[in-house]
Amino acid sequence: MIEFDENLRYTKNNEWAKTLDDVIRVGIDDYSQASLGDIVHVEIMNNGTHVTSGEVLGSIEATKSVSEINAPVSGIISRVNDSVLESPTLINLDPFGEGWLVEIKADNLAEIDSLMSVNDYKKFIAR
Amino acid sequence: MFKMFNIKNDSTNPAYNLALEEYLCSLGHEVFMLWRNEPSIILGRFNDINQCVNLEACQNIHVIRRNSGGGAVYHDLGNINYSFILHDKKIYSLSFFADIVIKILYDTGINGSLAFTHNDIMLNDCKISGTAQYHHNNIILHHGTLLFDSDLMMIQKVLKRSGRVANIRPSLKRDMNLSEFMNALRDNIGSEFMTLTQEQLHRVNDLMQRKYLNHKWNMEGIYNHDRV
Repeated sequence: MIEFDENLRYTKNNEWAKTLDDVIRVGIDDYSQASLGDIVHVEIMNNGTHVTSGEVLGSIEATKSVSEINAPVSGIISRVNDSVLESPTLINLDPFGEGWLVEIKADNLAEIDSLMSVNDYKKFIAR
Repeated sequence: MFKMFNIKNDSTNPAYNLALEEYLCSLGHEVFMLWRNEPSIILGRFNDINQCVNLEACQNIHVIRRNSGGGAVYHDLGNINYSFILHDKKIYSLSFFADIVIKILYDTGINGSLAFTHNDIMLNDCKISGTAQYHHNNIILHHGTLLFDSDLMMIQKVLKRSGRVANIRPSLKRDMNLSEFMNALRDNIGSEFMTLTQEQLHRVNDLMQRKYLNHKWNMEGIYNHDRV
């Protein structure tokens, strides 16, 4: 059963985003991790890199499959989750929690409002 | 089965072919392509070259890195590569495509038992096809190798890890040369041919120069390849 978190915003590339004070935390959703299988490798751009929404900020490798991760919003990468770099399987175990990927100091925090709500995302996935 | 465009590609340059495959992903069409490479090592996206390749055995062999996952593979002109490119938000499993390829192989006329095991297509317990995928923005690239008449000794020589492998040709019900076999595969996919414009071919060449002939990408797999 695929899980969704109602407090998150979602992209068409299966990333989630949520506001935490002055940054936006980003990860991949439960549908992605469940479809991809065991995640074995994660690469993320360095802290301090400016990313533009829709641009690649990292990649994950599951069973022989590489998936690019896009930045949901524009801004500067302010923190990378070192735990998932060391233990990529955290993404499988807890995609909305311990398996988060990066935090972005957004150029405009309100940009997150342009992403899909959970209901819109469920419709998008089901179409 | 999907309605797919078939790309006829006679290039055997691995850097060009991987650039073409990446470019085709950007076109928005469902695509099927068969292609071959001159002797080359094709590294998986995150492979450490020193851990998987016997470099001293790779004289006059191209070493190129691909976007997809999995391990390093050896290509030569006796190996046929296939690519499926789909545009869909659904994530298709490796076995979904492997089942299609197995059906095509049976339809083409193979003696023996084909199975998808440990993410490889096996013929009578020997690997004949490795598979890998790349996903981005609802594009799914699934590609794989088909050992038709490859130099199997070379595979053992250049790769540090390789299991039992076999060629397809000795197991054909009716012997075919490589060209006949490729035509039979294409006939069984049954899609319409598409040709690229000069402008599109120019873009493929540009991508080849920027990325697939870039030493840092091929040797180190630098992450930010889009900005190479």
